[in-house]
Amino acid sequence: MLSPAKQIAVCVMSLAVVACEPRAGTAVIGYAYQPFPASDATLRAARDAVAETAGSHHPDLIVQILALDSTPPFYSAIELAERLTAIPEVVVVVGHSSSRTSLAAAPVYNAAGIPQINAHATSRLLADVGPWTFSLPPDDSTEGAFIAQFAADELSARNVSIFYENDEYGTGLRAGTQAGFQELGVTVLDQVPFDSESNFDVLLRASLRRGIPDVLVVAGRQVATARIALLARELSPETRLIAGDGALVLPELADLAGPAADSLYVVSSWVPGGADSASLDFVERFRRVNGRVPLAYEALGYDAIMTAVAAIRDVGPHRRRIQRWLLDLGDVRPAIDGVTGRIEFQDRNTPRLVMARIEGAHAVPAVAR
Amino acid sequence: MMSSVPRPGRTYSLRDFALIAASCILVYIVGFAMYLAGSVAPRADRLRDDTIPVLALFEELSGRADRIERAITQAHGVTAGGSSTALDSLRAFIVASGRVEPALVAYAPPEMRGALVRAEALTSSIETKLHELVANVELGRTGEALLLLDQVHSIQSEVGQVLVDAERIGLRELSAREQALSSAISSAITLVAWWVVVGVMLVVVLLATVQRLVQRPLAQIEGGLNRVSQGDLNARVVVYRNDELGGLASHFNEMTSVLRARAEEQGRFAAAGQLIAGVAHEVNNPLMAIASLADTRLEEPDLDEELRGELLQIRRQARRAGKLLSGLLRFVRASELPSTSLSLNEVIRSATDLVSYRFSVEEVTLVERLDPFLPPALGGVGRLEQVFVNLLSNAVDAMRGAPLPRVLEVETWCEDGRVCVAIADTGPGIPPEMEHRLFHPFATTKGASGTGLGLYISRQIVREGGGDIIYEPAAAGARFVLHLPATPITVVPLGDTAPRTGESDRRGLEGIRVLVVDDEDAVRAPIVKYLMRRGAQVSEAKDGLEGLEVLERNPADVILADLRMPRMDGAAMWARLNETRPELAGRTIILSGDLSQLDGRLPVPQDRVLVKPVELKEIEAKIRSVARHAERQPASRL
Repeated sequence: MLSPAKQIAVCVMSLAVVACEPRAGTAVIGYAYQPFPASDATLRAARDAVAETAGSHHPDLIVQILALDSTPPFYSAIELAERLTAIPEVVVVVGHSSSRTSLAAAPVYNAAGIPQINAHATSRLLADVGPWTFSLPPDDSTEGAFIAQFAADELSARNVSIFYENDEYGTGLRAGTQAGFQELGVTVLDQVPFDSESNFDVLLRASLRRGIPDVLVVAGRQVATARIALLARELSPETRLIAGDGALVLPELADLAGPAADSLYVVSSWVPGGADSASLDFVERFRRVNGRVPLAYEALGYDAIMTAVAAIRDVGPHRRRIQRWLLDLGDVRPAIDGVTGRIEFQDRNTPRLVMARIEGAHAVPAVAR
Repeated sequence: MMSSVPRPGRTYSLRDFALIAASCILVYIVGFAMYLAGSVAPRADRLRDDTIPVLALFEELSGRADRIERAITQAHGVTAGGSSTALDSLRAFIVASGRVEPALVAYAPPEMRGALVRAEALTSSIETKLHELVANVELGRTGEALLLLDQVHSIQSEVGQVLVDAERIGLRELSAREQALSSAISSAITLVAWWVVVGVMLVVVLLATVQRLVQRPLAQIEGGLNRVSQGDLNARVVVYRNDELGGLASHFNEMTSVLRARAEEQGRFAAAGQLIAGVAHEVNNPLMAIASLADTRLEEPDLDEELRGELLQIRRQARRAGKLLSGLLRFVRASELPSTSLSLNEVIRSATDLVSYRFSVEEVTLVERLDPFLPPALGGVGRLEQVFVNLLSNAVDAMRGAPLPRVLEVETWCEDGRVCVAIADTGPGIPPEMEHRLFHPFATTKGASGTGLGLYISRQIVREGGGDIIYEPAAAGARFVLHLPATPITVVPLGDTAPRTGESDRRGLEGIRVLVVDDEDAVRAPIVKYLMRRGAQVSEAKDGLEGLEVLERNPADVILADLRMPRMDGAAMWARLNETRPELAGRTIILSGDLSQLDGRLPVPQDRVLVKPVELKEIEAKIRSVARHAERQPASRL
C-alpha cells in the first residue's frame, strides 16, 4: 500500500500525463442552423475542409459536425440547446441562425459551459448574454453606424426613413442605424415596423407623405427588402435603398427585386473576389463542393465552423480549454485569418464590413471599408 | 527486577479516542452546516432564481400588454377622426415599445415557453398592424383602418387568452416549486430534528465513553493512591485497557510492588538488626568473661612471660571483638541515637572498622588522610556511621574485579566553616548515564543485589544535618564528598558514656562491701576474684531475688548487678531497692550488654550504667566512685 505522499505523487503524475496529451478523443461541433441552401452548402464545405486537413493533426482526434435544425419557433431553440448540452462530446456550438434563436439558446450554452460561436446574429444583446458566447459578425450598432456613415458620406443623405422588421434583428438594426444617423446629424423622417403580413404599399405611401427621404434603410430580410425596393423604385425613384446584411440572400434577393436590384445597396461581411489566400481557398473549395461561388452568409458560417475546428485541434476536445482558447484569441493568442477577415473576440475588434451592390446574381463591392 | 503486570491486548489509546471524538464532533457540525448550506439553501436559491425571471417575464409582458392597450385606445381615437398630432403620437408610441428579451424565455418552464413566444409574436403583430392602421388613416383609407382595428382586437383577445394560459402554467409551476421548497424545508426540519437527536446521543455516548475510559480508571488509581498513603502497599488497581491510563495503572501496580519489596527488605533488615543486636548482646557476656579472666590472670605476679603474652593477646582480641560488636549495635540502632557534637574522624574510623574485614579479601588498600585538627560537627553518630559504611562499602564493591592496585582513599578537612569528608576509589567510576540518578531512590549499579536506596538515604541523613553529599567524577574511579557544618560544641567521645579511667586507683577497694549479682558464672567469678584481690568484701548472687536475700544477711556498700537475669533482672532489683531501701538503689551499678540502654529506657540513672564489655579496672573505678559518693551522704552505711 503506497503512503499518502506517494499516492498523491502518482495522481499528479497521472494528471500530468493526461494533461500532456489533451488532444485525443472525439470532439463534436454542434451546428444549429436553419436548413436552407446556404446553410447546407456551408456545412458541405466545412466538412470537406475538416476531412481534408484531418491528416495533418493528431491522429487520435476526431472532429465531427453535428447539424441540427434550428427553425423557429424560437423556443424550440432552447430545447435544441438543451439537447446539445446533454451530449458529452459536444464541446462547442456554432449557431444559431438568427438573433432571436441565438439569444434564446445562449443562456443554456453559457450555463453548461459550452462555447457558442455566433455566425450570423447581429443583436448587440448577444454581448451581454454570457461569457461563452462569441460573435463573428458585427452587432447592430456597428452595422448601423456603418450604414449611417455610408448614407451620409457616399450618398449625401440628409434625411432618411427606416423600415424595420419587427423582430430582434430588425429592431436591433433600426436602433443602431437611428443612433448612427443621430450622431451624424441626419434627420430620421420615419420609422416603420413591418412583418410578413404588412401592406408595404400602404406603409410606404404613408411614410412618403411625411417626407421623401434621401435614403431608405430597410432592416429586414430578402423578401421584404425586395418588395420595398420595387415599391420605392415606383413611388420615389430618387430615394436610394440601403439594406442590412440580413437581406443579402442571393440569388433570391436579385430575383425578387428585379429591376430594383441595381439601385440596391446591401451591407455584407464579405464579398467574393478577395485576393487573400483564405478567401481564395474558400472560394475554390466551395465552388468544387457546391458548384457555385459562395455568399457572405456562407463565408461567415464557414469561418465560425473552422474557428471551432482550429480550437479543438489546438487544445483538444475540452470545453473549458476551448473557452479559454476563444477568449485568448487576439490577445495572448494571435488572431487567425478567416475568410471574412481577422478573427478575434476582443473589444477592440474592428470587423470588416463591405457595402455591396447586386450585379446579376452576385454581390460586388460598392465601397470597400 | 520489577514485576511485570500483564496488560490487555492492544486497544485504542486515549489520544486516538480524543481524535475520533473530535473528528465525530467536527463531522457532525460540518455535516450539519453543509446539509443546511447544500440542501435547503440551494433549493431556496433555485426557486428564487427560477421565479425571478418568470416574474420579470410576466411583468414585461404585462407592461407591453398595457402599452398595447393604450395604443389600441389611441387607435380608436385616430380611426374615429384623430388629428395628425394624435397620429404622430400613436406612431411614436408604437415605435418606442420594447420587446421581451428572448433570453428570459430560457428560464421559463418549458410549458410556458410556447405560450410566451406566441404572446410575444402576437403583440408584435398588433404593433405592426396598428402602425399600418395609422398609415391607412393618413391615406384616408378608413375602411382598411377599421378592418385592421378589428384584427387588432381579435389578436388582443388571443394575446389575453395566451397570457392567461401562460399565467396559469406559470402559477402552477411556481406553486409546484413552492411546494417542493416547502417539502424540502419540512424534510430539512425533520432531518435537523434527527440530527439534534443524533447529537444528543453522541453526547451521551461521549460522556459514557469518557466515564468508562477516563473516570473509572482514574477513580481506581485515586483509590489505590489513597490506600498507599494509608500504608497499604498491597494496593493494586485494575488495568482495564492498554491505553495511557492503563499504562498509568500498570506503573502504579509496579511501583507498589517495588515499594512492597523494599519495605519487606527493610523489614528483613530491621529484623536482622534486631537479631544482630540480640546476638551481640549475648556475645558481649562471653567476651567480657574472656577479657576479665585474662585480666585476672594478668594480675598474678609470677606469670610466665610467654603465658603473659598470650593472655594479653587474648584480652586484646576480646576487647577488639567487643568493640566491633559495640559498633555493630550502634550501627543497627543508629536512628535511635540523638544528634550530638561529634568528631567525623572517629566516626570514619568506626565505620572503617566495620568494613575493614573486606579490605584483605578484596585486596583493597586504605589510605587515610584525616585532619587531626578537624572541628567537630553536629549529627547522629549512628546515622553518620551508617552513611560512611554505605560510602565505604560502595567503594569496595566498585573496585571488585578492578585492576590492582585498588586504593580506597579517605580524607577529611575543614573548609569555609564546613567539615568535609572525601571517599574515593580507583574503580571503573559511575557510568555517565547514571550520574544524574545517583541519589535517586532505587537507582543502583549493582543489579538485583542493590537496593538503590543507600545513596538516597545517606544524602537524606546528611541533609538533615545541614550538609550534603556530592559526586565528583575523578580521572580514575569515583569520589564522593560529604560536608557538614562545623560546630564549636564539645565533642562527646564515641562509644559508651561511662567515664573512662586511665590507671587503677592504687588505693584499691579496701573497706568497701560489694554485692555482685550476675547469672553467668563466667562473668561473675572473674569480677568477684578481681574485686577481692583489690581488697573489697564481696558477696555474690545469681539473680535479683537471691541478691536481695544476700543483702539481708550481708549488707553491701555498692551493688553491681547485671541487667538481664532470670527471675529478677537488674532493673527490677533496682526498682525494689528504690522502694524499700532507696539508699541502696542510689548505690547500685547496672552492667548492660546493650548500648541502647543508654538512651534513658532504664529507670537507673545513666551514670550508674556500665556497658559490656567493660574492663575490670573500670568496674573498680566505678565502685570506688559510688562508694565515695555514698560516704558523703548522711546515713550512707547500712
